[in-house]
Amino acid sequence: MSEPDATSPLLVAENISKTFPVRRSLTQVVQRAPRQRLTAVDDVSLSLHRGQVLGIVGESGSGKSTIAYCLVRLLELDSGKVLIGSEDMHAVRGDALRELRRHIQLIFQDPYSSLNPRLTVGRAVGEPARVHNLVDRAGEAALVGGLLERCGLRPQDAARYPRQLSGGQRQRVAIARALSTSPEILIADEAVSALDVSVQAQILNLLAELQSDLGVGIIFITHQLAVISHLATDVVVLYLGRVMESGPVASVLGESRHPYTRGLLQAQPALRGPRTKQRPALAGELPSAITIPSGCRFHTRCPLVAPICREVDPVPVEVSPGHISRCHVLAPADGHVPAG
Amino acid sequence: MTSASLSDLEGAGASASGPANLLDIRQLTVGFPSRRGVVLAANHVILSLSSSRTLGLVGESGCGKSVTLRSVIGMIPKPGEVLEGEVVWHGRNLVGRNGRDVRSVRGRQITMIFQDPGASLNPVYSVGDQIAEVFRIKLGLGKKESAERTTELLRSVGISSPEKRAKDYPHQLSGGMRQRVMIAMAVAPGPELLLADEPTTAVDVTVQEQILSLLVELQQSSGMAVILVSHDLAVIGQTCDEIAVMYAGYVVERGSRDDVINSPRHPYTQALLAAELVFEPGQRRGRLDTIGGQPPDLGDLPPGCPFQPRCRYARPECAGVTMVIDRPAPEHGSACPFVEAPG
Repeated sequence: MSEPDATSPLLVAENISKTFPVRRSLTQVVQRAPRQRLTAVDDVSLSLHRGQVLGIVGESGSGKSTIAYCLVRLLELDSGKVLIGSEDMHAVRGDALRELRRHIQLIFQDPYSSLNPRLTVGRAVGEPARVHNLVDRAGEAALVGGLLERCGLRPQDAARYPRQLSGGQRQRVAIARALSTSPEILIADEAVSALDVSVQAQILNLLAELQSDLGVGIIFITHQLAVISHLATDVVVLYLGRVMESGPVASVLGESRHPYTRGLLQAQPALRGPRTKQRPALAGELPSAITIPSGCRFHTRCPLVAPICREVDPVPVEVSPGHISRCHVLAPADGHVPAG
Repeated sequence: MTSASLSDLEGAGASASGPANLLDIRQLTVGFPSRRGVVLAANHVILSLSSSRTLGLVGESGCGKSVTLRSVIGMIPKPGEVLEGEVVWHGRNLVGRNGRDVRSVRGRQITMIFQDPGASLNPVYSVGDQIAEVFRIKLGLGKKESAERTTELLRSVGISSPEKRAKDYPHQLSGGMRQRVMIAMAVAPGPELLLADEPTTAVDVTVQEQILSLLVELQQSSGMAVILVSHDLAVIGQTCDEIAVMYAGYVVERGSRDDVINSPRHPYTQALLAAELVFEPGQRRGRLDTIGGQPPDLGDLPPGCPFQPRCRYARPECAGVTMVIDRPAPEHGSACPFVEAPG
């Protein structure tokens, strides 16, 4: 990263799209059915600044993880670009790509399957730094010890194997490993979803510390709005691969201007809330990403649906500073919001 | 040892119980053999439930909530077994009964739904056939009537065009639909008690809300009792009348929903509630309260209270605690003799 300016973003994704081919059955091939594609990410733009925690939220199938994989180039893009500093992640190759990857690291959901069972904790944590030639043998041991302590483990845990650790400890190891190349950007893909409540809180605190102490930018992918409201500074709400609403957390979650976000907010289970609700906030489930609904893709489930929503795809409208929504009803292009 | 203690307990069950409770779990202890000896997944669990009530069993992974639930219908995974205690259903102990006896209750008076509907439905039968089977086998209805009742039932669990959907196979349905089908199967025989084991863990929050409202709606319209197991306190709080909190195989606290959630008595419940992510838009809370240390290792528990290594109120006397709930139901009971509810 050769970017001297402190205010420029660490990462910018510009209009990224990703589709996957859908496998046809033998009958479909014989009948010459058209080849279909599944739209996982559709024209998504986002940016991440130093010290920022950007939450990406949506139901399963909304494209959250695909975005993460595109950002680190585990998947190639159909179109758009991902800039790390000033360099395009998807345009470089060889050593230049490896150098870029040092700055962006991914933490996976399941700490049981993301760690190699045959590597000790120390080997696993030191491996990325070794691969990037950042340390020699002696330096690696010191680095690993420091990272383990930084992540709430003991330096002597380096000699243990993943199977000897609990889920929370394994996730700490995964985080230590991600930190070993001193990245500016961490992407956490449902990093606490598989953990118990008490351990989840420990890991969230650790991530919050990393953000404030090291100034790393974090992209936090989750389906839990409560996690976003605790950890994130900014949020992107995804629906069928498209950003429906985005902006500062206080604004998007506190004064949402999109019926999908509002539905997600209402669907959160409330510990002290009324025992039974009238009826669910959002009916139905996510439609197929192979045949995306016309117009606004949310119109099939939207409680506020108007005739225009079935025809015209709404454009992003800035409803307050940095807060963007795509909705004909709550964020119309002419800026007039009906009362109520 | 097992079989002897089972037959001893057989007689005691019928006489001692009052008629008030639908279900009484008494001193239930379930053990799994391991290399380090027998590990107790449920340890002298005492719970009771009267009809039309919803009981929530909450705790972290490995606390014994699922094993306790499964023991009600004799479905503890092998090689686990009930070492002690009884499960009294309508005054009759179900533990140690033979298959036919249990089957007259299981799947008819008591039914169950599971976490993963994909793995619990038969992939080679249409969902309609699977539900109709319940009517034919458990209620002895004819083919035509079974099919009609199936359609009706699918509609009542919120499945549109049920005649068409009944012909679908499980893989043709979404996760939420499959969970609805499983609920339909479970309520088909008109059970008095429905056991639900993490029914919304595998689905999205929007579908979770739909499934929970459906459960509450069915419970209220049919008057069946429900035991809901979840690791999610908010799910339990939103759905249940009574809550039992489990830790390392023990029930550590039990009481009405409001008592347990608003004035938790046991330090573990207090810590769990403090660690819960409460959704507050626009208020970044920074640090969350955490429960220090690691989840318990059932094969290596300290003497006395299993929570003491992580408890902020721990003291030497904790090693002598017997883990008995101090007040009889329906009072608000805790297994900690030292700590009271704050305030």
